[in-house]
Amino acid sequence: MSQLEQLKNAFVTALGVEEYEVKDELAYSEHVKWDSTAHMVLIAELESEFEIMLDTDDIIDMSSFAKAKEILAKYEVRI
Amino acid sequence: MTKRVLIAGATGGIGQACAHLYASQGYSLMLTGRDQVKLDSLQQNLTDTYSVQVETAILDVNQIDDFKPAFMQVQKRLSGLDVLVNCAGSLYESSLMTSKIEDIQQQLQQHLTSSILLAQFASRFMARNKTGGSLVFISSVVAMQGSPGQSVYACAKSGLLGLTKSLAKELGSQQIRINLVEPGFIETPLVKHYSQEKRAQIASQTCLKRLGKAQDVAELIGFLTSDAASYITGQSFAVDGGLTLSNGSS
Repeated sequence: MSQLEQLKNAFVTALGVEEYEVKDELAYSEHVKWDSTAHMVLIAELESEFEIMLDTDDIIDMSSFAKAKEILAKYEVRI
Repeated sequence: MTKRVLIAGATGGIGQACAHLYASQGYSLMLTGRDQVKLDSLQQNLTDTYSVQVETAILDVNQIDDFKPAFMQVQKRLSGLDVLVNCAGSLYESSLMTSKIEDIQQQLQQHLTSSILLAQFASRFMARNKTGGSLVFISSVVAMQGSPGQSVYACAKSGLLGLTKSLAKELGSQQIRINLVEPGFIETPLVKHYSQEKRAQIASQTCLKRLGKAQDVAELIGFLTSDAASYITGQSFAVDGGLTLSNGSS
């Protein structure tokens, strides 16, 4: 499985959204299922899946799927 | 599965009592503190006594940069976390007029900001668990009763009540529970400077006519973080021998 697929799966698992909904435009607070609680679950899922620990600033900045790809690249996740 | 606990301030009186309690119950432990020598000594003591995994990491709660590396050790050594107990902190005593700004800020960092940061990191681990997790913060009876010369300490400790209740509401849906323990006068190194006369005076003010031990506090913490307390969250519990009940008079 590619790391992009891993990332998409993490979003599906954490947010409880359909796979087709996971695209760059998917954004925090704009999708009904991506609320503050889901955001914490998403962070936990990403950290577990990629064995990383995100900085608080990156957790705050992770406001969309596109942004998540950009941030994870800093942690050597190859999307 | 073996449960995993992080004890912040593990080498203090209550921290050590908690470490022994959790080790005796078969938990895997991550002990954190400022002094590696003391951590190593406690680790050795525990591994000599119990057949459990005991890890250590430096985490000075006054140093914001210490938090992430300590939790990376949690990930690396324990692969997750079920329980966090924050025992770190010092008792600052100074009158209002003589309280220095750097000491005030340090007390707020040490008791309040540190607890927020610990909860931020720990909750990310606990959210991965099907059964969530449990956090306990340590306050003081002084937080609700007040004490002359301890206004800064009381202020920092009382803030933990709002944190506990808010986090209980915010994290409850993930089955993460948060509770607060308020020790009274417990015989630990934190109060070793108190005279025998002062100790006797405080003991006489309790209903039980004696001072508390760190083990008394650890037992409550152990219960609150156990499955037996799985429906308890956002609460505050005093362990004070009745000190806060009408000065112990009958």
